[in-house]
Amino acid sequence: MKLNGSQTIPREVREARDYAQAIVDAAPPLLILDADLRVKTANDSFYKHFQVSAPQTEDCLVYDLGNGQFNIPALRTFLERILPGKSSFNAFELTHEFETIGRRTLLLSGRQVDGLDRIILFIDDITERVESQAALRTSEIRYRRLFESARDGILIMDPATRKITDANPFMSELLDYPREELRGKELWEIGLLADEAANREAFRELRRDGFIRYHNLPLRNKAGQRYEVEFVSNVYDEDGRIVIQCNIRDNTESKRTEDALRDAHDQLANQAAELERLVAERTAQLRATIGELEGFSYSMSHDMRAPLRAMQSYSQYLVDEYGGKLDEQAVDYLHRILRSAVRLDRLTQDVLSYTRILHMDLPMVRVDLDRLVSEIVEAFPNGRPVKPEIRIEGALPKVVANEALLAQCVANLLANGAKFVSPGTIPHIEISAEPADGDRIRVWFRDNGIGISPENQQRVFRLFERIHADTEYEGTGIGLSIVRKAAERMGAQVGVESNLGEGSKFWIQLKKG
Amino acid sequence: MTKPILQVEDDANDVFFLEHAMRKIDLAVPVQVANDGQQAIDYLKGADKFADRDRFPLPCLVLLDLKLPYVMGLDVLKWIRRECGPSLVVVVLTASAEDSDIAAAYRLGANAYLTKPGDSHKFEEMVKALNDFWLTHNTMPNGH
Repeated sequence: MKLNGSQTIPREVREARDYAQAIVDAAPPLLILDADLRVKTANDSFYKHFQVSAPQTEDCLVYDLGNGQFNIPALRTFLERILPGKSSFNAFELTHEFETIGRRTLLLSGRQVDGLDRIILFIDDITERVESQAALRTSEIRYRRLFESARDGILIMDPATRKITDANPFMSELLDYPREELRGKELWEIGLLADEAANREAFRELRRDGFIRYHNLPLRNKAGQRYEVEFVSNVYDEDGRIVIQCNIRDNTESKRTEDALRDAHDQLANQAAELERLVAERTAQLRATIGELEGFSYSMSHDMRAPLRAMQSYSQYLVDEYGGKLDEQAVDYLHRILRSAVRLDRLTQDVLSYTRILHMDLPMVRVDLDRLVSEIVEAFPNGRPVKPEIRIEGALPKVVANEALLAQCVANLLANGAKFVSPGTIPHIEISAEPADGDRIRVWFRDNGIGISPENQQRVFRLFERIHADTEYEGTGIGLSIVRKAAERMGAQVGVESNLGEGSKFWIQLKKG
Repeated sequence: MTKPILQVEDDANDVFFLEHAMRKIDLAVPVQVANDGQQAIDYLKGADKFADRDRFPLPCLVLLDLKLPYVMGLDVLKWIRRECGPSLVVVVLTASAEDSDIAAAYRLGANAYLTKPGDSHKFEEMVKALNDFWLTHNTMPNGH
């Protein structure tokens, strides 16, 4: 908007006009209307603010300007009903959705300029102001809600007087003080600090550091109930006004939990120590047992082999020195003694190495089962009262096994078959082999013994388990458990098929060699 | 006077086997027997009943079993090396073929380690070799 200019205007008038122009340019958006509400002029800030151009504005009916954006019912009311009755009207508020600049809240002020027949319409856009006030109100409501509902006690204090100006409901609940009574009190008066001196000291600290914090502050409420609280106090600047806010958190529960946790932890540590002690004790016991076992093995290797060596040597002396005086049968017996001594010596050594290597890898080799079984069968009688009849069916295959362990298995199975016969029966044992699942061989030992009832068939393999009384069949109850353990160590399986009175069929299943 | 072999051995059979083997190979070295470790030490010390050195002369060789009553073979060996030095030949002759025994014997200063064979012929060969090597060809440092 330019005020009409002419070179002939006197200087004073020109100056006044320029002055007015400057004011108009700097003012908030304004329109100058004629009596018919047509826009005579608008200032720059109007154009800028409402994003309309001069051609869209000047000489338009105010309601039509800028594509009718100002066709606002409230504006009509203002211009046509309110303003005509007065020479001026301030602060008429309206809210309108503008096409270009969105929803705005405007504060309108109108002024009739006497004699000129003009209306000056000031349009103050207060949208931002209104919004920030609303936000402030929301924030205030939120703060209030927090303050009222917090499960922390909150006190607001005036640093000048050191008196409480506000307290939230939880605070009064915690201290068992009505809210009104808290107002105007100092901290020490409500038991939060020991005395007035402590109170002064706390405020000195607060001034110096801007905050104070006490962990586990003991607190006793009006009713004498004890609490542990965490006390935090901060100084805040509220638009130039200094306030102190104290937050008091009831730690009683968390302290109790913490204590319980510590107790539990201590208990656990004690149990762990006890457990450790127990482990150490057991380990020592185990070591002692292992030591005993080692001592046993050592005796075996020294003492048990000595008599065998004697048997061997004396038989040799007999053959060497008296061979000429003995007949063929006697010499054969001597050779049998010799072989048995050698076999027993080897067995003793094998048992020794077996116990020693129970927990180690065993050397597995290809074993000629036919040769092994024949040798064992040949030497088998060994002073038994009744010589068993042992028959090998066909040629036995080669298997993968540890020879000493397998020999022990075979010997034990034969001994088992020979032993458990009803009195007066000559034991018959048949050994045979057949292919089993995959690359396995199942070796059968069929006997004509007393048989084993199904419920006892697993028991016979257990260490020291005996089905019969010692008076019927003597033994240690180790034989078959050695078979099972040895088989286990060789990756073989053992089992039995039997019925009482029908003999037994023991089997051992090995890998084909 | 010929120095004897001191056989430290608690098993009467083994004492007889040595005697038998020596007879078979015509070896005329005298043999003194200590039946346990303490006796062996007493003999070497010349203590008590072994005081008479004419009857119990110091040996040229000790055949030492390891598993002995009272004082074990390895302790006898330890005592010998401490008290008699390295000049006395000590050959371990035992049933044990345990690695730990063999290692301990050599660590404590045994001159040789032999395991008792079951076969009497092998034992005769062993005794002959003992005589040939330790009592015929071998030279020890001067001791007592």
